[in-house]
Amino acid sequence: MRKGELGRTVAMTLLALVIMGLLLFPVYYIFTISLKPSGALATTHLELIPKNITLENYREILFGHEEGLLKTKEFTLTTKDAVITDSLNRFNMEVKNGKIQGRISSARFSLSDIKIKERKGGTEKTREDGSKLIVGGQYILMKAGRVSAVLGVRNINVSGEEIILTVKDTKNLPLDLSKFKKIGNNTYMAKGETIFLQQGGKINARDNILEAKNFEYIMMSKIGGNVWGYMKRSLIIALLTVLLTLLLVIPSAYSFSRLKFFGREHTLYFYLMFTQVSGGLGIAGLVALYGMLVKLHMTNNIYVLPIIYSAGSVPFNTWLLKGYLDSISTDFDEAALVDGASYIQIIRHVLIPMALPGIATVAIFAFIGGWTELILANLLLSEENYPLTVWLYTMLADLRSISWNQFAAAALIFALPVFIMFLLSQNYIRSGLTLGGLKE
Amino acid sequence: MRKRTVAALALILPGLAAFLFFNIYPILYSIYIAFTNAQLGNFPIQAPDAPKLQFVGLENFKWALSDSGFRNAFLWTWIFVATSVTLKVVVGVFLSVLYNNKYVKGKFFYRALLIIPWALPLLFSVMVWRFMFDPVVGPINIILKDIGIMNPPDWTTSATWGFVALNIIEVWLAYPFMMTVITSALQSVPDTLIEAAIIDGANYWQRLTKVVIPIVSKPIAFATILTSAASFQYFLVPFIYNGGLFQDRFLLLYGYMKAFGSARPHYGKAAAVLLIATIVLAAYMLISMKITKLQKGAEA
Repeated sequence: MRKGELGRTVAMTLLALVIMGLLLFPVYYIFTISLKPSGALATTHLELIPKNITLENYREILFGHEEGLLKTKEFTLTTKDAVITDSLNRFNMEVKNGKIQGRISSARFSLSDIKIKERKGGTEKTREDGSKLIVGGQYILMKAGRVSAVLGVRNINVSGEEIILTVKDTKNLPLDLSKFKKIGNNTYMAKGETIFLQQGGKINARDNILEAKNFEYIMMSKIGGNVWGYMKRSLIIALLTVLLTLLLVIPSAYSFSRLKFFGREHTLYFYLMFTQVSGGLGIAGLVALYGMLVKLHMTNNIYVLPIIYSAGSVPFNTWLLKGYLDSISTDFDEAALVDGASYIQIIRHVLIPMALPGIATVAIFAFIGGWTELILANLLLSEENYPLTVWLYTMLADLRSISWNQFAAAALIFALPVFIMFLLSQNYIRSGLTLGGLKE
Repeated sequence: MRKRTVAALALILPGLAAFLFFNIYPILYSIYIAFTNAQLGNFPIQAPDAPKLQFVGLENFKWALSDSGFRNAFLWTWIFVATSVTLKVVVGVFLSVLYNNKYVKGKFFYRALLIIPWALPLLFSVMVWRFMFDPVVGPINIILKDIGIMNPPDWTTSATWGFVALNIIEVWLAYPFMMTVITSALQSVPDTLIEAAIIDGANYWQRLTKVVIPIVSKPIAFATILTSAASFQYFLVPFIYNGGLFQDRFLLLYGYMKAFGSARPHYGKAAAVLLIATIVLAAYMLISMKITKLQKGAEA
């Protein structure tokens, strides 16, 4: 009997765990996707625990990176890890912790993740597309995540802690092998030597410091990292929705909770009915709302949205806050009323302090509403005014422009505030939702 | 007393006025538009060379009833209500019973974690599922390939498989709600009642049908009506998932697309479609409420 009980407990608990795992798997999986290097999506097997965890997707979404193009004759590239490939593919040189120097070369480098540390001279101008162009300077020093010269650079001196040379064509090798030690069939190694490459090669380097003297020009532009603009607009919309909602809802909830007046029950009933079908009715009213706003010249304006959102949520939030106020004893505000306080004073000094948890719940609802609304924002705003939701939605419609990894990171950044707020007010929301019968 | 009424009205008025102006007025205005020829050129602003905005009577409604797209959307909306509501109730009951079972250890912890879908914005959830169902990199098709299905369905561009996907998504979105309602209903069954039934010699089946189900059925019916209304108003999920693909599968989406998703928008027809959808929904809600109230009367 006891053994049977134990067996059942183990079996049922396991089943409960497995089903929970299945139900929560999508959210977990999208989280792991956001932590994988961009473009490394498996198509043949599931990787349940990501091997190479990286925050690069979040960094790219939040901050983006600076890309650029530098043309110069004289340069010093201090690199952690570089590969020099001969343009005729006769050899391949790997440099660890080394330097690549050119004096009379003509080099054109593509750069990414640039941070300029020091610069002397040159005329700077910002072009229409936001990119920056600096022409003719004496000196520039910068950090660069990636440096590559696809066209090949001649006359370079290569030195490094460790240089590994892989030779593909021994006969026509354009470099002196005397400084190298043979370590494999076609591989040679040199430690701490300086090697001159007259014919040069293509350069591809990671983690660099690039120094250039008398450079011709450098062009820089920012890629990605535009989420702040969307986030700012979403935040403005959400916070204004909170403010307006509280202004509209607190007085009416007080009134419904404390005052007896003609039409009270009817209005309450009308509000309740509306909360049940608001989703469908909202879409039904959309055609006219759109027409109305066009006529009033209120489209493409993010400040209009909070008004509409807070107005639409008046019935639900009034019910929610009224329910909370009903649970607070009337003694205090009636005493204040007897003492001759006005209704506004009662709300301000008696009710708001006591009803703070209920008000916070309404505020959180309003914030989530403003932060997550998509349909109206999508309909009314054009690109320069997009909030986060519309930005995400347009990206989903055109997935070629962004990797799923970065997209997952962006979507999680969008969802996180809502998730946190939900946790903060979980109990209220749960009772509120079951009471109002609303979901979604 | 009259002073009190004036004060109450003054306090209610800002909220009520905003609500009436931005919600009720557009709905009434939409009803008017449904009886006009509002379309590209004459709505919202009349262009000089476009046909004049005018009253056309029941023209748009006649059009809707004979339009194959509308009929399709109407039919499929009800199919979706039937399939998704059945799934939601079955899954909801199953999960509630499982996570209420006395042999399961750590129920509270699981229940707390299981409502996570509720805490996520809908847009995010649909994006997550859009990724799950992605034909190339989505885990669902990867698993299907792993178990030997070489040509797994295209969940994102095939209307049939997409419909299946939408059902799954809706169940996932709604199970926290269903589970919460049904679990609290199950917990409201007094233990003493069940113990009494056991003493009286009732077996498991008898206890279930004679004691548990009569107490639990009312909240479940209530939740079912609410969730079926949500299914009928299904709009955001198909819109985000693949709006173009499902436009003649869901009534609200069909109406929306007629106005905002077409090269030649016809707002009158769109408003008529949405008005019909609203009336059908209202009738459905009234009838279901009546039926459950009738039950209440019969029990009393």
